[in-house]
Amino acid sequence: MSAISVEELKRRISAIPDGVEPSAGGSFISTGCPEIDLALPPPGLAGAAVHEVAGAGYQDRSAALGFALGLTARLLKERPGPLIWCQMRDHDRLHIHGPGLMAFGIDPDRLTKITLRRESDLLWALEEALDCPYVAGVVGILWSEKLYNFTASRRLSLRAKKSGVTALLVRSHHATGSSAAKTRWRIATAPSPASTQGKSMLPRPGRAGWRVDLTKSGTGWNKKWNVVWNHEAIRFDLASRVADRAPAADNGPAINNGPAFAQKPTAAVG
Amino acid sequence: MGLRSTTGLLLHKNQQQPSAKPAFAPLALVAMVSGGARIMAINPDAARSGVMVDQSLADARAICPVLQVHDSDPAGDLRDLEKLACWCIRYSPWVAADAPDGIIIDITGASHLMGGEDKLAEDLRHRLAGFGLQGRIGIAKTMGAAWAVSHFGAAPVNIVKDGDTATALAGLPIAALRVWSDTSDRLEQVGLKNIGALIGKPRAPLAARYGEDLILRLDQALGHRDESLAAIAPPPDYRTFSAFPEPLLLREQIQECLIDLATPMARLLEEKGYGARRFSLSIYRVDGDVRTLFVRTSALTHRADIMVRLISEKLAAMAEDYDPGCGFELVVLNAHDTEIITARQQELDHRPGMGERSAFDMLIDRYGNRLGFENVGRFVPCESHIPERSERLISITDAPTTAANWPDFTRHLQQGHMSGRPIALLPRPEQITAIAEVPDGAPVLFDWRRVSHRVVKAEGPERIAPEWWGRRSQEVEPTRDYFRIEDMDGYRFWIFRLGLYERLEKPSWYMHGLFP
Repeated sequence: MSAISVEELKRRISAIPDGVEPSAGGSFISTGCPEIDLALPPPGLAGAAVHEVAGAGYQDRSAALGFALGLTARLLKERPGPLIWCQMRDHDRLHIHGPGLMAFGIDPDRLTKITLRRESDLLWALEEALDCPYVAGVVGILWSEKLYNFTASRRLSLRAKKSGVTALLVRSHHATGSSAAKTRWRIATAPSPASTQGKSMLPRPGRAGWRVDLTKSGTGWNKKWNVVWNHEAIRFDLASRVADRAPAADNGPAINNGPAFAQKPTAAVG
Repeated sequence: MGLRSTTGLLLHKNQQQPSAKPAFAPLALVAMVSGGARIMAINPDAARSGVMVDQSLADARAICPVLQVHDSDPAGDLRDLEKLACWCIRYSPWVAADAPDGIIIDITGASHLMGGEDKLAEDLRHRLAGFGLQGRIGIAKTMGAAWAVSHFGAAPVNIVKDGDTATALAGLPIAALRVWSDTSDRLEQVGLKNIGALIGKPRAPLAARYGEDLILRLDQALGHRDESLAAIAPPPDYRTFSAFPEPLLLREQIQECLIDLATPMARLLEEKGYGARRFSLSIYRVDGDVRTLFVRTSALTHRADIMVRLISEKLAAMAEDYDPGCGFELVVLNAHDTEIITARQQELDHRPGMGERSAFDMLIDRYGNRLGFENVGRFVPCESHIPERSERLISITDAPTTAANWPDFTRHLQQGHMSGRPIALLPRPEQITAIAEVPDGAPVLFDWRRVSHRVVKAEGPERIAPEWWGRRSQEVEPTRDYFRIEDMDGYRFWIFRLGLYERLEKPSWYMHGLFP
């Protein structure tokens, strides 16, 4: 009897559901935060799959974008290769700012931005990028969706599985309904943890923080966390673990800040 | 330059209809000028009846009562001439239209492909007759001589062998040299009626009396001075073509021709070590219609599979509304912008299963050819403090090949604050209403897009002064003070105050970007 390695067996088994064998280079991307990694099926974000990120409400779209950028940063850290960024022309009048990408540890040189006019072109561009194994990943901003449905997501998933390229889709908060994506995340903005007093009378905003809700993962766990982005280590951290470094004297100036605006002391979010 | 043959082609202007009518049908084209309607062009039947060009319409009608009249359309004629010139590219890519009714083709090195100059001329005349045009063709070593024999030569086809140029020109009138008509009139008055009379005469007195232009044209015709051709379409660097004796009728056959042409083109480029950035495929229909498809690549390439793939996509897009008509008889593949290819170094870090970089280049090319290369871009830092100008998205074909120094740029821009810049900017800052407690502090309340926000955290101001050095003083924008603020619900914004309180009565506030 020929000896088959466990790895080979795993590959064959995972090919059974859709008939597509995963690429040899399939890997997993760690979010840098062990608690989050454990909730994802095999420890980490699956490398050859589609993942969707959506905001909880309309105003949370920048939070969703930020979380997606964090995942992108982890992806680029662990894999070589360029990243394709697909966005429709001026949608929602927001466009990505190069220096802002550096805050997430993303080197703007690795990005190639594709601007599209129609949603059908966007889906085509995503499929083409997923066919090219040289690409590290592809990010698609799908803020207006008329054509994206379960079938489209399934098509993208199969291509991702075959080529080993990761796809991250940022969807609008209206996005409900089933999808063939491996994981789905719902992001809401959370007030940032307190930090030191700034020059002005108000305290400084701290690191970007979000309430992250993993609504779909292969394991069936539905978990929520409060997460901040650590831009020095380029990883996600749980907010409760971030120590509140605000000195005790902060409460003094905060109270003197004009009685008309009662400000809640901004303690760490647990 | 060696042997240079030029074909000058003179078309009879009045042949707008197929000349299949045996009956007597005089036709004239008229145009309205200041004195009334004047005859601009006539056909042979009308000429035989006595109508002459430049007569008034009334006189012409008196001479020939059955004269048929159409409006002359010089602009349309010029367009048709240019279309025909484009069609003539099938013989050689160096073609220029010579208004009002001529075409000049430089067939150096191309005549052997048709089996010789006389076969080429015969083929050309035959095809023109098929279009309903009567052509007069002159082939000579210089452009001037070809023009002269085609316009004033005796036979419809005149081929001047090398060395016979002077003899062929000798019998032609001075007007054949393309000089002003008053020059040729004056020369005729003094008895110099033919070009032969000028050859060999002392040049200085002629130039002094009749102008330098006369001597220039004479030298150009005899080949002592060079004359260049301004081609109607930029000639390609390399071309391969296949012509079919029987026209092909199916669109799918174009695809097969493409594959058959791409292989020798790839071999040709590769042998010389060249690659090209632009390719075009021209399809010539039997009735003279020419359709050309262009594709571009971001990197030099000489691979046949890339050419075929890119052109096939364009072909598929065009195929829906392309009607082969009576068939197409010639397909030409051209390569433009060729340069020597340098081998590219393989990148060091590689993932298993990653494949080759060429697949990525191909992906970019497909995006560019389908969406337009201006929509495929890279970020490039710009030397500017103003945030909306501090980085640009430039098309991938213009992007510099060396990596930009982003860490230095950010350090310089934000004094090392890595999180000081938002991830997304509004394309144009939107005005908001804001109330600040102290004049140069952050606002405590603001309204944006009809939603109120109460500010609980703020950082700043970060002062960005306008760039006074590039502009006049009136155009300089006021200073901006940027604040990074967070509202009650945790949403984080990047806003600025335009103008300082000391200088402006009421400075205005704007929303510029969002933080995650």
